[in-house]
Amino acid sequence: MLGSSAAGSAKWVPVLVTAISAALILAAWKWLTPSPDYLLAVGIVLAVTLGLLTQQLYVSYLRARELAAGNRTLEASTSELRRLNEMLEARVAERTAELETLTHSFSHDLKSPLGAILNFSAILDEDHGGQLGEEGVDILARIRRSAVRATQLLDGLLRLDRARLANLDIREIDMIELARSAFAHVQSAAEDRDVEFVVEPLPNARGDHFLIADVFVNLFDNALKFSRGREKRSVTVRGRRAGAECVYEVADNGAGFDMQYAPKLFGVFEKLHLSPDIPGSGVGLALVKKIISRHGGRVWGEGEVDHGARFWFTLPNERAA
Amino acid sequence: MSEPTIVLIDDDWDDIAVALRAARREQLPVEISVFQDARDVLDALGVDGNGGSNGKAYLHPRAIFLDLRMPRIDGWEILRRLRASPRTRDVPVIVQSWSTRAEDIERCYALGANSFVAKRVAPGRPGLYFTDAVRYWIQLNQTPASVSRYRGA
Repeated sequence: MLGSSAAGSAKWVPVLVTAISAALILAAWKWLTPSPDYLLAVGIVLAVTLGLLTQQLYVSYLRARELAAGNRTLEASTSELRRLNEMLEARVAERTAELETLTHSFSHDLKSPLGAILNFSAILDEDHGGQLGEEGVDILARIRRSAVRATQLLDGLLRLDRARLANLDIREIDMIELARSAFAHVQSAAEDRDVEFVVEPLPNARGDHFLIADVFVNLFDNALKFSRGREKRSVTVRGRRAGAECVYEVADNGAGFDMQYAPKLFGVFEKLHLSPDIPGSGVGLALVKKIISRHGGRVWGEGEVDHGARFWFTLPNERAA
Repeated sequence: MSEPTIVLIDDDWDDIAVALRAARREQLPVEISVFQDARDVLDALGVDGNGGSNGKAYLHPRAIFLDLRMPRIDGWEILRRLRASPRTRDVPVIVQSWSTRAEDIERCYALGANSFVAKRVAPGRPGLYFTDAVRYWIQLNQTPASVSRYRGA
């Protein structure tokens, strides 16, 4: 503590002053008036008590002063800390924005060389395929597959980017209607009829219609993808109001996943199923998370190998006070 | 009757090669003048105060197909100058780009582009984006210039 050693010696000053003045007064009194000895003793006791009291008072005063100084220092360092923290946050936001801009323009710039690879391998195949021989045709097919894969990854990144940049148009959404139309869309795009689809009553939500539709599309797409070739497939959508949130659930009875990989579910380009037969850019769930967090909601998932997967997302409950 | 001329401005030879091959295979009834450099095309069109009647025959294209990302003078700047010149003010300009960034597209229309075409790969049909756009702008779309061509005939 600041000034504690100075205060340590200074706190005896009032005792000395009081004692010396009391001694002087007593001596003068004894010299001027002939008084009995017991009065002198009483005087000495009074003087010492007075000295000690004064000292106590002075020490309390010193402590209070130190405490006030300490408080001021603490306040100053707290506000300094807050300022540094704000500066740091601003810097992180700035760097993140820089990185995102870079990703954004890279993704668009990469389309051109990838397009050239795809175009020229198609032209090579069409115009000179006859001269390539069996091995040559096979190699060409490999080149094209890789370029197609790279294009898919790039498209995934761009979709994420659009979800990040989109202006939210928040309106009331009939979630039952939205789930039904999203499922119909996914089903017809995948030409996949052999699945039972159940929508339980869902509370309406407030959100951006197109982005929330994208959430359903990606969740349904996964549900169909990871149950293909199984018996009695089903996809079920449930929902309820829970306090400040509306909670929605999409459950399937497909391949599921091992819960040890749950932390990776919503990462970009994380594919838990490495099978080359299962297509996808690896951004579906990352996109779901991005969209839901832009709406102020949460996402999580649960699965069991061979016993299906369940995904939940929340949106603010506008009925909550 | 001679075929209508279109101008194709692109710095990328790969894209030009794909576009020309597609046009050739589909036998598009157009004469394609290719430019890789902004200066050359602005000269050929008589834009930008390089005009004056020095006996040079300027191009009178039915449409201009313009790439955006080019070194030195980029597509937006070319577009701005095309729109500022009375010679090319009314010629349809079709911007073609691999980039489909919203801000890029907005800027093109703000500068007076008539169309924005995303360059893309059509499986088995390289350059389809170009031939489709040429067909529309040359065969379907009408401009005062395309009509006046037949007025005297």
